[in-house]
Amino acid sequence: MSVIIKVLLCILWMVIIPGCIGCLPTKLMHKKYHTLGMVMLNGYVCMFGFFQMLYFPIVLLKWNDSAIFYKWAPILFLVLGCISLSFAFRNVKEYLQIRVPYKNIFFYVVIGMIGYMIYKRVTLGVNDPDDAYYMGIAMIDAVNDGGFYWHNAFTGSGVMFQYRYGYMGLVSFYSMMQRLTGIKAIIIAHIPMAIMVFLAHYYVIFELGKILFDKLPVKVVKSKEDKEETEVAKDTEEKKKDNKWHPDKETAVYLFTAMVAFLDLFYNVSVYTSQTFLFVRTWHGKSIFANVIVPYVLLLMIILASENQDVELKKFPNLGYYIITGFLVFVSLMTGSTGMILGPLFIGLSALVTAIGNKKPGIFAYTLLYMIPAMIMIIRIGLILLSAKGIIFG
Amino acid sequence: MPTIKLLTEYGGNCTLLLYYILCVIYLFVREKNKAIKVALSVLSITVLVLFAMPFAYEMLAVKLSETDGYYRMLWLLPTSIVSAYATIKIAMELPHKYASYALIGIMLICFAIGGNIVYHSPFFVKAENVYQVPDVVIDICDYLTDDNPVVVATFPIELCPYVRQYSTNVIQTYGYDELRRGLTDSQDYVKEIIKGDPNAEILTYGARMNCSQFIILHSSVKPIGNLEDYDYYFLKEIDGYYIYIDGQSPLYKEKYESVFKED
Repeated sequence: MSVIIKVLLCILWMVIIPGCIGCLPTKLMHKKYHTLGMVMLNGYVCMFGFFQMLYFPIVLLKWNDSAIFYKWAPILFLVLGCISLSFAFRNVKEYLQIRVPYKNIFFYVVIGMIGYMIYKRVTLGVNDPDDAYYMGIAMIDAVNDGGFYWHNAFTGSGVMFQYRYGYMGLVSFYSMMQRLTGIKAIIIAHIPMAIMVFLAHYYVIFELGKILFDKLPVKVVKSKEDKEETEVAKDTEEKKKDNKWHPDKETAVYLFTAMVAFLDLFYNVSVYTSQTFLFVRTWHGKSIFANVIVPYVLLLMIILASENQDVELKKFPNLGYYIITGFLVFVSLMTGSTGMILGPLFIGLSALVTAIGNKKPGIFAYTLLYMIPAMIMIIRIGLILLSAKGIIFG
Repeated sequence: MPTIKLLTEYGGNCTLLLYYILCVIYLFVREKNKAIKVALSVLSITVLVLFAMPFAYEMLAVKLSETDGYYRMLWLLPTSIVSAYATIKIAMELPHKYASYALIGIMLICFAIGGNIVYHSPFFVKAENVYQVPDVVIDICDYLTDDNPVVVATFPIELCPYVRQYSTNVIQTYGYDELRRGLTDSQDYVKEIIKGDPNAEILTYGARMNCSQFIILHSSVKPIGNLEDYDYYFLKEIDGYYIYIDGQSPLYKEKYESVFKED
């Protein structure tokens, strides 16, 4: 297979298919979230969620023909992509509208910083035994049809099923990508996936910025038709009379994103911080959990707690957010044992605190409701792991 | 308390962590938007309190035997997000816009001084190729698997983590995990291979017992004794590494014996 075909297949499976899958859940969100970034983010969340839903029962039932799994999972993604796209076909044009703030200097700062991080990620390798284990397993799974996690990553010899890791599907996702694209799992993880993680992290931060600085005035748009913006412009002019700093919303959001990026770069205060994991083990489940899932949950909780969630689906205005919250539990589980424990804990805790703090008990109740499918899986795995450790039934 | 120790280890010199805690308090006092206040401030406090609770430590760390990983609970704190947001909020409250710009500039300098840039991490090495594994591993693996579908090889410890990341056709006789375990339950030849002067007899015997067709040693390693005395013959030097083949293996007889005889 030529390199061009491999790259095109990689774009198909890592950009187009998640993009198609993300169309429908994004449609269920407020119009201000109808962006390409949100479509991709939701697409990955749903794709990973469905991957874990399919992966776990197969491993649990000890159905050791992984080749069949690797054939059916992509078919599932294709079907999901088609269904999602057909339901949200009218919104595609809206999703693809990208507005570039050419005049905002902080926009260039953000782009430059993320570009620099991606450049460093691609040009720096990692001397990390955990990564050797991680990618070794992915490489074995990619060429072996016998089953998951039955081999020693370093020697290739057969071992007992590795309970601690075997039920979480992220490594097998890289194996599947190798089978689908012909690009080795190590390259898939180290380059395209690492880029996706960086983009997802900073997109969530950007969206968080938008909601954190929502009350700031938007930049003056010289349009007579847009009354609201003209009023905001007047308001801005009044504020300019004092000497205080009144940034417009766009500037504040990009400044915020740039500052988070700067802090991330310098947060290597110990090897334990989530930021260190973001840069060193970008493609690992732990990094995805700490740097994409956690901020995304925060974003969803702020959205759910905010007023006026007026969306197309008026009967269930928050349906899209709850669906994504439910899927995030599956994705947490997919990322590994840390995500398996901390994911539901954080989502449940944040929903509880948000519900109490904002006096909206529905947030907690609905979040718990949408967590149930993933929780059944997590409890099942938890029981297996605890009994394997001899803590229960031991 | 173990949790306080974990917190201080997590925070390093604790400058940024302390600033984050101050920002959490600031947002708790000054933030007017309830949804934001709850998500960024109250939730952070709740996570910190939960982290410090002895029962949480007992449940999540001791009972689950995860004491080493308990610090990961601190990943639930949105440190960068809260610090950046609070800094901008404080800057917006200053009486003069130049004071705001100055504050942001000073804070960025403080973050840089109080923190540590991630690219100073010893984990990073310069990527030599698209796989991000050393070129020498690729060269050796390609040479070993040239016309041989699957081979068994004993690599030096420094190349051990990368081999299986590049090729599943090279089976190693021991893994990097043994080094992480401190070689306590490792075989003698593994303990020998990490030495600068391994005993050739122990090395070759152990490698052969593990069906190793090849032994790879760095050119700086000087074995005590001659590997050829134990039927491991020098095959080739690649990027400063010597490759030896087991003269008793079927692969040698099939493919390399005739070459050696011609030589």
